[in-house]
Amino acid sequence: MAPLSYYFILSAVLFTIGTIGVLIRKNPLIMFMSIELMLNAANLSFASFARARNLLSGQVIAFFVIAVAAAEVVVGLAIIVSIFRSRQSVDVDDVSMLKG
Amino acid sequence: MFLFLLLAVVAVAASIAMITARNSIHSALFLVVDFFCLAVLYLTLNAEFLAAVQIVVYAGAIMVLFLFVITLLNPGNEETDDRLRGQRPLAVALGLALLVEVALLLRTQAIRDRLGDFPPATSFFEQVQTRINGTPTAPIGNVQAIGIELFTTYVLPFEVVSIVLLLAVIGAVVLAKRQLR
Amino acid sequence: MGLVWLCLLFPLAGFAINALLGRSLPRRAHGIIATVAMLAAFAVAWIVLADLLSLPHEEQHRNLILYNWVPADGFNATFGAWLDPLSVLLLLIVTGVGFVIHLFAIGYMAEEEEGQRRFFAYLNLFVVAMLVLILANNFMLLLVGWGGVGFASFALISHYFFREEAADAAVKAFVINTLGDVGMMLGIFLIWVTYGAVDYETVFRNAGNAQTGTITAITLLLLVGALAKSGQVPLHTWLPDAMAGPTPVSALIHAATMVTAGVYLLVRAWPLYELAPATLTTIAWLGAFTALFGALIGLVQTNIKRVLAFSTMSQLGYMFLAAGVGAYSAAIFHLLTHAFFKALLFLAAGVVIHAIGGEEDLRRMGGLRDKVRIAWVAYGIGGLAIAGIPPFSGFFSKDEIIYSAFTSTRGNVVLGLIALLTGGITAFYVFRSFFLTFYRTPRYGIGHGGTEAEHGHGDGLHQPGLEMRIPLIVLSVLAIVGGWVLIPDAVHLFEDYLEPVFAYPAAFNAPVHAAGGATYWMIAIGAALLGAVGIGAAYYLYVLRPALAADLAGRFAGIHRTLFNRFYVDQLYDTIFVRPTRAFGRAFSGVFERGLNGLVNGAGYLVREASVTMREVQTGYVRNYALLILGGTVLLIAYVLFTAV
Repeated sequence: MAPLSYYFILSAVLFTIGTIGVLIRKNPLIMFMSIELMLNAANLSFASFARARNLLSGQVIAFFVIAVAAAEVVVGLAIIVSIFRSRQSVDVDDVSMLKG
Repeated sequence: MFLFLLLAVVAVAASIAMITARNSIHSALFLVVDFFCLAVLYLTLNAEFLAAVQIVVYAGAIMVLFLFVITLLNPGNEETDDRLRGQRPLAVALGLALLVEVALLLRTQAIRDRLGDFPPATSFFEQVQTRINGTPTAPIGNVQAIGIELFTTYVLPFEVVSIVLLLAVIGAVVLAKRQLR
Repeated sequence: MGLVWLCLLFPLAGFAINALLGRSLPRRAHGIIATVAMLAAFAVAWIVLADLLSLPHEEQHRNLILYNWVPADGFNATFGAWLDPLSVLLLLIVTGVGFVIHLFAIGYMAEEEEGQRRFFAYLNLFVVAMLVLILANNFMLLLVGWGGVGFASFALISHYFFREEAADAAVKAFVINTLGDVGMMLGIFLIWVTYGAVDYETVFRNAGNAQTGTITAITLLLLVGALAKSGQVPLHTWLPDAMAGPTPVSALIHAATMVTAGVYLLVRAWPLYELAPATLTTIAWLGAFTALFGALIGLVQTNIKRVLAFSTMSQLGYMFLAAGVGAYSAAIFHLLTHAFFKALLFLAAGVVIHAIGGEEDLRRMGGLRDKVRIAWVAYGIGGLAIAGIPPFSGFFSKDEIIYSAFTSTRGNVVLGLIALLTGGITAFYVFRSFFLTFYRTPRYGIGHGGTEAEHGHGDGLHQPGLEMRIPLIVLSVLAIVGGWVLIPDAVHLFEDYLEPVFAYPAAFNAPVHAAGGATYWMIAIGAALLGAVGIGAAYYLYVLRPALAADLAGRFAGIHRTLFNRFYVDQLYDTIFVRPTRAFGRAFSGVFERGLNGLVNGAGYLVREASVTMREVQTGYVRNYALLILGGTVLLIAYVLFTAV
C-alpha cells in the first residue's frame, strides 16, 4: 500500500488542477466542475486521515462535504440557468456588475 | 502501490483533460473518470461507504445534473482568447506555486514526523468515537459504523445538513421560477 | 394618600397623548386634552389635601415610596413622595394655577397654526417635572424635577424659536439654570458624603450631627441652585429675557410656579438652614437687595412683560428675605398670594397684548380701559394686591415679611426699611405700567392685521373669549381673598396649617413667627400708606402731568439710563464671561481650522485619492477576484512556511 504522503501529494495535485481550472476557464459550467474536483481532492485527504488515525470522523466529514456539494451544485446551476435566460450567454466575463 | 500509481496517473490525466477540453460535454465525462478513480482510492482506504456515495451521488446525480444543464443551455465552444490579459499565465503560475508550497510543507520535519506509513487498521467498531452500550457479536461493517457515528456524535450536523438541502431545493425552485432582470 | 401619584400621571398622560398621538388630532384638541389633564390633577390634589388634614396634627408628614429607584451598594435613593402641608400646598398651587393658565392658553394660542401641540405637550411636561420637584422625598429626585423644569422652561421660552431673541433667551435661561444645577449637585454630593443618605427623612433627622462649616457649605451650594432658579442677584439675568416666551408661559413658569422653586427649596431644607446662620444672613441680604434692585429697574422698563418680570424678581426677593430671617411660613404665604396676583397680572397683560395684536411696548399702548374692560379690572386688582393695599392678598403677605424683617432675631432695621421702601416703589412702577396701558390716548396702531372683518369689532381689537375671561375672574377673586387665610390677631388658618412642617423633625423648635400686636399694625398701615403714595405718584406723573415724567427722565438722564440698562449687569457679564470665552473659542477655532481641520481634510483627501486608485482593482470580473484569493492563499501559506514552521 502506498505511503500516506502519496495520497496527500495526489490530493494536492488534483486540488491545484481544479484551482487552475476555475481560473482559466470562462465557461461557468466547467468552472463549477473544477470546484467539484477541488472538493474531491479535499475529500481524499479526509479519507486518508481517517485511515491514518483509525477514526471514522474523517469519512463522516467527507460525507457531509458531498451532501453540501450537492446542495451547492443545485443552487449554482439554477443561478447559471437564470443568468443564461436573462443574458443569452454563459460567459462569466459578461457578468461584471461588481465593477467598482 | 501499483494500483495507487495507476489510479493517480489516470486521475491527474483526466483532470488536466477536463480543464483543457473545448467541449463541456467532454469535460463532464473526464470528470466522471476522475470520480471513479477517487472511488477506487476510497476503497483502498477502507472507506467503502464513501466510495459508494461517490459513485451514486457524484457520478450519478450531480454529473447527470451537469449534463442536463449543458444540453439545456448548449453553450457551444467558448472563445479562445482571454479578455483578462495575464489571467491564464498568472493562474497557472500561482497554482504551481501553491503546489510547490504544499510539497515544501509536507517535507518539513514537523509534518514528516507525523506522516510515515499507514498504521495497521483497527476494527470499524473501535473507530467510532462515541461508545455505545454492549459489543456486537459479529464484527460490524463500514456502513454500520458510519451510521452509528452519524446518529451519535454527528447527529446535530446531520440534521443541519438536512436543512441545508431543503434550502437548496427551495432556492433552486425560486431561482428557476423567477426571471432575473 | 396614594392617590397623589395620579397628580403626576394625569399631566404625564396629557403630555404623552399630545406628543405621541397628537399629530392625528384636530388643532383645538391639544389644548383641551392638556387642560382636562390639569383639571383632573387639581381635583386629585384636593383629595390628597383632605386625606392629609384628616390625620392628627403631629402625623401630617408621610413618606410614600413607590419603588427603590437607585439601589446601589452604600447608596440608596427611592422614588417617593414626601407629603406634608408644605408640599400639598404647592401641589394645589401648581395644579390649580396651572389649570386656569392652561385654560387661558387655549384662547391665547388659538390662532397659532403650528406649534399648539408642541406648546401644550411641553406645558404638561413642565407640570409633571414641577410636581416631581415638589413631591420628591429625597434630594436626588428633587434634582430630577429641578432639571426637568429647567428643560421645559427652555423648550417653552424658545417656542417662537424662529425669533432670534427667543432662541437666545432660551439658551441664556438654560445656561444660567445649569450653572445653578451644578451648584446644587455639588451640594447634594456633599450631603451624601456628610450624612450618608440623600432622603429628607434621614438628612433632616441627623442635620445636627455635622459641623457648622460643612452645613454652611451645603446650604450655600444649594443656595446657588435656588438663586439661579428664582432669578435672584447675581443669577437673575435670564428671567427678564425669558419673557420672549408666550405670555401663558411667563405667567405659569416665570411667575407663579417654577421660579418659586428656589423659595420652596429653602423652606423644604429649613432644618439645614437653621443650622447655618451665615447662609441665612446671606439669603436675607441677597433677597432684600434683589427686591430693591428689581423694583428700581422696573421703574423705567418699557416692555409690559419685562416690568412684570422685574417685579417677579423683586417679589421673589421678598420671599428670600423672609426665609433668610427665619420667617419660613411668611415666605410660603407670600409665595401663595404672589402666585395668584402675579399670574393674574400676566394674564391681564396677555389679554392686552393679544387684543392689540402682539404689541408689548408700553409706549405703544394707552387708552385701553374701555376697550378691554376685563383686563383693566383684572390688572387693577392684581396691581392693588402687589402694591399691598388692604384688603387685597398682597397686603397681608407682604406685611408679614416686612414685620419679620424688622422684628425677627435675624432681621434688623436696615432690612426692614429696604422691604418697606421697596413696597412703595413696587406700587409706583406697577401702576405706572397700569396707567400707561389703560389711560390717556391710544398710541397703538389701529387695525392690526385686518382683524376687523374677522371679529366684527369696530375698534379692530381681539376681544378675549370665555376661556380667557374665566381664568381672569377666578384669579381676580383669589388675588383679593387669597390673603384672608392669615390675618394677624384674627385668623390663623395658614399658620396652623403649615405648623406640622416646622414641627418635624421634632429636634428643632419651630421658628414660626406669630405676627400681631400694635407694632405689626403700625408697620402694616405704614406700608399700605406708602403703597397708596406710590400709586398716587404714578397717577400724578403718568395721567395728570405726563410731561413731568419725561422731564424727570431727562433731568436724571444718567440714573435713567443706568436703570433702563438694568444696572449694566448683562453688559458686565458679557465683558467678564461671554466675551473672553468667545475670544478664547475663536482663538482655538483658528488653531483647529488650520491644524486639526487640515489633518482631517488631509486624511479625507488621502482616502479619496487612494480609493480612486484602488477602485481600478474592482474590475467586476469574478475570475479576477478568484485569482486574488488564490494569490492571497499562496502568500499566506508562504508565511506559514517561512515563519511558523
